[in-house]
Amino acid sequence: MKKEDLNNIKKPGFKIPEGYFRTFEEQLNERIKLEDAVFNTKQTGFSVPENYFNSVEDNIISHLPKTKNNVSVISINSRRSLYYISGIAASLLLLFAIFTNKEEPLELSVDMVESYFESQDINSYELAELLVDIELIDDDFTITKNTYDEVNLETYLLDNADLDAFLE
Amino acid sequence: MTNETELITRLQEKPTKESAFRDLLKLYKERLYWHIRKMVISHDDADDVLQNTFIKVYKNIDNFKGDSQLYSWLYRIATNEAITFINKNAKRKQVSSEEYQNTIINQLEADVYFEGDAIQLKLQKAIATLPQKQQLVFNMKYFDDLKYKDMADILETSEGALKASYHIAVKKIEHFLTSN
Repeated sequence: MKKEDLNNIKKPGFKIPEGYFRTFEEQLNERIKLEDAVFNTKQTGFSVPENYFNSVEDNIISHLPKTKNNVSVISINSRRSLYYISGIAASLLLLFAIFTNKEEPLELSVDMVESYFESQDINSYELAELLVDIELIDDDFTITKNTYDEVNLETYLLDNADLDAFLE
Repeated sequence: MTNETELITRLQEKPTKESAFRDLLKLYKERLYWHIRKMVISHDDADDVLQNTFIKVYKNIDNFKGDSQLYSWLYRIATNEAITFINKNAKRKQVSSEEYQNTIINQLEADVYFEGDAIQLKLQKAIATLPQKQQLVFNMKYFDDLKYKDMADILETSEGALKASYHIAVKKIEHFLTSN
């Protein structure tokens, strides 16, 4: 490029959008206003419930671990602890249920058997049929084995005159 | 013996621990609350984190060796508790901590404990776009007007790094405000 040519260039060749200088001032003012508003507020806008700072102290104190006995305190809110405690409790209950819940064989009283026969209206034929069908053996027939001896039987027969009707 | 040294001594001795702790609460509850609130945004969350912070302070006061000032130590615990809280919640919701904070900030308008105007809301939204460290630096410098030296003590970083971080944060916020 010749020196003469360089001196002749009076414009850099840049262009600007139409009406740029007319709107520039306006835009700049708006931005200054916004930034002023934002950067001078120094306030977050956050608020707290009424009397919060008065009550929060007691709240915190009530959650402090007790140091008197040097007992380490596990937060009761801890879900994991809750799961552990629940698990242990459930296991203990299960074990307790298994080892204590041994069902005792039901002891039938004479009165119970008698009232059963009466209420079911079972006649002697049906009773005899039942005894044949099941083929009861002495060991299984715990009622007679455990609760009847000869004296009892005799007393029973004497006290129940209507037994004849039953044996017909 | 300065007031702070005296308070620490009382806090570390069993017979005076509880009364000293009440004094500590009176002195720092509001400052720490607002520090935490600006990080976690909602009041309920700030309340949770504040309580956790003071409980941690109570449990660990015997380990405080006085290498830094008491308030720096308290601020550091509060900051860590708030960051842990945010990260834990984000993990629970299976989102990044940035996404989590965006969700929280979008609920701010409906928050009964937010009384800010449109400008303050916009500023909070702008802050939420910053990375966590820059948010901290911006809040501590801009709202709390803490000295860089104190901030460096709390955040365990150099003053130069903090100045750069604050400068970048301000630029980003300005950009957010003008482009939104």
